[in-house]
Amino acid sequence: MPFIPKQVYIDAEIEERPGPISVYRTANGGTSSRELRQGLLRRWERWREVFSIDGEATDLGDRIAFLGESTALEVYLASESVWWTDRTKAYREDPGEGGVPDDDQAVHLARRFIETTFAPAVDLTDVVVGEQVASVSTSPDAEPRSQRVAVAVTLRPVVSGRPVFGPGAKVRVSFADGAEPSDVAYFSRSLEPDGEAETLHPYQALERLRRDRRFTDVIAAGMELHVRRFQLGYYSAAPNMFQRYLIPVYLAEGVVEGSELDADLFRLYLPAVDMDARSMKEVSVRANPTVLSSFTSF
Amino acid sequence: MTIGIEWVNNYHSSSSNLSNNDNNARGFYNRLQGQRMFEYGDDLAWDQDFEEKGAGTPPAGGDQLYADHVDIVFFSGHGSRSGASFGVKTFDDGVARASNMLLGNGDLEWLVIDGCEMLADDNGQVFSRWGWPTFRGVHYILGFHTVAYDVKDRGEKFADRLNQGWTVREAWMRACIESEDANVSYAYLRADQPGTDTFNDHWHGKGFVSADPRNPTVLCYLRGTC
Repeated sequence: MPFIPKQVYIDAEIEERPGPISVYRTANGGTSSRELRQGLLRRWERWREVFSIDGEATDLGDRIAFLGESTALEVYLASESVWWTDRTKAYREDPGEGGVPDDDQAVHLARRFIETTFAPAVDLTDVVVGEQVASVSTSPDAEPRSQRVAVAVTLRPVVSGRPVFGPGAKVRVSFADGAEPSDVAYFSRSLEPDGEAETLHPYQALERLRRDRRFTDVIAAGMELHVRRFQLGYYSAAPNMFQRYLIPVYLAEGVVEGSELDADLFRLYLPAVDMDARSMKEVSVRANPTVLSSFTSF
Repeated sequence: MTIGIEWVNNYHSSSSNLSNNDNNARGFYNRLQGQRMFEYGDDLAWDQDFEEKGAGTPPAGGDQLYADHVDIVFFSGHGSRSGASFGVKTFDDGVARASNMLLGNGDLEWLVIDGCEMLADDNGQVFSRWGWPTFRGVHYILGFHTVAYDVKDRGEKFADRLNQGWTVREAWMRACIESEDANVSYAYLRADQPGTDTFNDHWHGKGFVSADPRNPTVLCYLRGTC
């Protein structure tokens, strides 16, 4: 009989026996600074050519960036990520003459663009279609005018059947003026398999959630945690963050009932592999492995 | 070129605590090129620092000394449609409310609320909730249409791009896209009037900065998926 912590309510499906999880290290995990830098320069040249960038770039340390009047390009050092923007079309407040594609068209166009431009090595099977909406108000008494000015397709990787969460695993292509992309954020890390690790039982992870310092005060005050999503996957840090391994995590999303806020929502990551401090440091990103129990970002 | 920040991690049992707002706000404060004017965190961060003197009940506002006394102010903490939430309620009610804010009649050009749902669209109600009553010279309110999560580095990402010369609106949107998932939507409200052009605002010293829209004739709202 699994132990379910008091004042934590599970409104989500829990995978009772996730078993071992495949471990993936990043391709540049053991790379020297010099090799990282040379790799960045090679990738910069490649993407500069692909996106027809002609102008002087700035070396910002964690990326090389070009910011022109009409286009921008950022190529990152710590991951294989690249971000290109047509500044005349992206983030606009009025629709382009070419119109905004509908959702299905946008997904088709985004997939075609990603396949031909990046040839990703992992499956990008999770798809979310979002939008950019602009509204204008000309007086307190007039009804505001709203219109959809762009559509954004976000594709996320699935590795060994598990989703990859976090800002470093996101391919976002938006269309603001016809079938050509206006903005392409390709945040990705090359991965190499590196064995398997036993996962924590989900209820052990939930017990750690209850003990998290974010919730100790509200639980003591009689409030309840309702977990609405609890899923095993991997965490990929922001594209400018160095990361040796994809961290196996449980994603916990939910709400604090009884809070003074209208919507006291949380989303945090619980390491799904029981690592001691040394292991956590070895596989972690940045200088601080934060805490062993949970994190929201690095 | 003056900067202020306030942040809250400790909500004293009124809502869940947060972990990263100190790092998030300080990342902004320490990276943006300009004169740092104030930082108040946890129990020293108060809603009245963002509210107009004499407005609301109790009329505790003191923004002329804090939020409306700098060019840009960055709040990191819980938010809601009602306003920005603070952990201390000793001096006011603990929520910096739109109805108590008149921004830009002092110095403020850009207010950033890095917290949930302050700029929720609600079929255009955002204009009556935050827009017309609040804009008295301020150029932008930048925040979120949806919930936003407790991240460590959005402030520094925003500051870095302001320093590089991106427009204020581009810098905010890119910082949000780079730090959030696609279930989150960024948003901003901006004001204009004849003779101003806040669409093309940059951080001071990094490009064009519009004159202040003291009597705005148009408000523009944009939200987008991160």
